[in-house]
Amino acid sequence: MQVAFKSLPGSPSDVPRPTVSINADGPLVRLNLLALVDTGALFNRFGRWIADEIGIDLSGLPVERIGLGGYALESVTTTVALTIGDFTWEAPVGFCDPWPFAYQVVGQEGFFRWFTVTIDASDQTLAIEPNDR
Amino acid sequence: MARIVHLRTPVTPPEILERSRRSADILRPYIGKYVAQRDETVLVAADTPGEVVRWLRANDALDAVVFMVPVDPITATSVA
Repeated sequence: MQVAFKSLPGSPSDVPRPTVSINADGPLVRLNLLALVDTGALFNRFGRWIADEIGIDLSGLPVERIGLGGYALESVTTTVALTIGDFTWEAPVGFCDPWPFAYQVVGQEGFFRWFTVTIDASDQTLAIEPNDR
Repeated sequence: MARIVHLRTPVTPPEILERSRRSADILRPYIGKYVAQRDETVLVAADTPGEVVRWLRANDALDAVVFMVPVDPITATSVA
């Protein structure tokens, strides 16, 4: 599967970022979210508002205090069914509050382990193939 | 001894730059807003993600992708 970078309006120039459209399933609804494919991130991190909207109950789960992008956040992790194109998998997602970022983040332990990803920054594309092992 | 290969500076093809510019232009009116986008159309924009999701549910449009158009696309997404 090949995906074009998402070009975001900026000044003085626009900024293409390697992102994917990723579905997160919950008891209430499935939401389609934009996620940054972040080779430097260990874990998937989503905004807490997503858990609320898709109906995932995080009450009683341990709260982790983390630093991300210069912000101090509270993160609660649970397993979520995620889908990109025709591929679906279950992975831990840390739902964070506050979430001042523009989109979600997928990292090594929740995304890259399942896929082989080729980033072509010159052509502004991502190639994503499922791992077969 | 291994031979060193000198790589040329890559050039992004003009059609890709044009596609990138068109894509950014679609989002330019919505900087700082949460949006839901389907293909090249922004279906809804609002100040909070909850408003966007409520609109998508009411209009049976949950296939649209939800995100915020950052005020600064460099710093707003530099998370690790």
